[in-house]
Amino acid sequence: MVFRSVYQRWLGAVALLVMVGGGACAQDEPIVEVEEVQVDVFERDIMIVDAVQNRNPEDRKKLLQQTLEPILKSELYFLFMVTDAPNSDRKVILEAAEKELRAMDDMLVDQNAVNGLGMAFGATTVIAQTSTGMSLKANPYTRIQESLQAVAAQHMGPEKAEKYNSELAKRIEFRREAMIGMVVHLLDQRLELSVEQRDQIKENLTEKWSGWKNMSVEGYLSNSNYIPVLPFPLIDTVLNRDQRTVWKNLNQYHFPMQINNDQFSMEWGF
Amino acid sequence: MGFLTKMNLVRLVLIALLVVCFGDRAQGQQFQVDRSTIESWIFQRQNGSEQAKKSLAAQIDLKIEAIKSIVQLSEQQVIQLRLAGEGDIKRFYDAVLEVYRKVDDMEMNQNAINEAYQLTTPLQQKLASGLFDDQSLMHKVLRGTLSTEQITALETSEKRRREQIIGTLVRGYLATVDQMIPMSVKQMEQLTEILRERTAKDKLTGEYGIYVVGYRLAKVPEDDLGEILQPVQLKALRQMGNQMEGIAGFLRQQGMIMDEIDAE
Repeated sequence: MVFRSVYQRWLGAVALLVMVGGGACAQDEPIVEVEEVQVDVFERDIMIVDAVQNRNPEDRKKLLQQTLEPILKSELYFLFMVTDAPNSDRKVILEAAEKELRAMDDMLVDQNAVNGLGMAFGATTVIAQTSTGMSLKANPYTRIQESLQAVAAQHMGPEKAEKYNSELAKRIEFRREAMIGMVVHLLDQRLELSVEQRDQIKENLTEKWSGWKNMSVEGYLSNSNYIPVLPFPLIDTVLNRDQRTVWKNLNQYHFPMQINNDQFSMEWGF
Repeated sequence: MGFLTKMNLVRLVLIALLVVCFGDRAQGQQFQVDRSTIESWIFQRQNGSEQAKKSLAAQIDLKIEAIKSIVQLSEQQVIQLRLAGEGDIKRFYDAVLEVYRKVDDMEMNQNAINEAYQLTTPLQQKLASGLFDDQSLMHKVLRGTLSTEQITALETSEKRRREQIIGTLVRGYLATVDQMIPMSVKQMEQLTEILRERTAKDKLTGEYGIYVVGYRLAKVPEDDLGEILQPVQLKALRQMGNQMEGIAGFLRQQGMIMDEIDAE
């Protein structure tokens, strides 16, 4: 997450340097040599991306399962924690959760659509990107949580399922407030909002904006010219003339969520 | 891999890239880093020098308007503040010119390219953390021109704003941690209280503010965290926190973290 942003930022820095360097040596230096340097540094990632693009659907499906498994396990830990699930029940739940995981390949975006005209014409919206080189058209965190809600309902009884649902709902509300708060903060950094303006924008976004669900703040924190894609009237009507001028020149862009769980091989006890 | 390790890694990549690009010239000709390259390093996130200048000028107006929404300013005060803000921009661009001159005078080789990049780093960081900070002319002039009542009103508002920023960054950070280490809202609220306290004296402005929160979370004593988190969560958080160790030096260098808290 924040760490991923560091990683992503440096990947961006390398891309920039490739551009700068490529421009500088465009006349007489083959760009391919620059790319080789990039491979040296991020060899694993570049190779994975290359492999993914050439993989058959079955392999991509397996790779997606491996990529999402850490998220599933951490969420399972939360499910067990809040429901105080006995060890005897955990095996069945774990198996059911893994079965759900195997059915999540429908989130995969067709790589041809990403590479080709599909993206340019907005035919495919990439919600998340994995460090293993895959693009997803749905939020994997939400998908896993919804799957575990179904698993809990089926295998844990109504009381425990309700306990998980209730705790999850509170977390989602915490996230919603946090993400909207971050958007107001991003706007404030760029537009010098007054207390009243901050409160009003927060209220507007809370009432009428659902973009927080798939938002990843890191990209915006490190790119001061970008802000999330926001409904124009919710912001514009609150600003003064000078702020509106700056606001109109900001680039609205959706940074996909970065899924990079292999940085942490955490032990969840099952 | 830690932040600084990656930073060093990218610097190495930078050098490697430049060497690849200019390597053949080194054998028979000269290395070259021209002003446009330096400009692209300094203003890489602002779409170039001219765009940055326009944004900074617009920021002066925004800052003045923001102050006017809290205290009434006379026309003379507005003029003084605008001049001071323009002075800050000029001071920054003078520093950019100074880097240009230094690079112009360098005899280019591999070390000089690295040195040139190092010269641009403080300017990149200054842009990222904001030109009109506590050290700026604008800030000094503001303090010098306002009455005691105006300063009190402004400080009250700044304090409220700062508390809002701390709360926002802490909750924003915890919401991202929650995606890797799920926590109950009760746990996140308890951590929020601890982090609000521990970041109270830190500098949280600019794009690095959220890293300060991450660093502070990593430094919360084990006993305090143990009262809030389950052992498995605590272990995972510590594992994640280890990655924040590398960033401490950078944040300290930027004057963003106060060391007294660590010494407690």
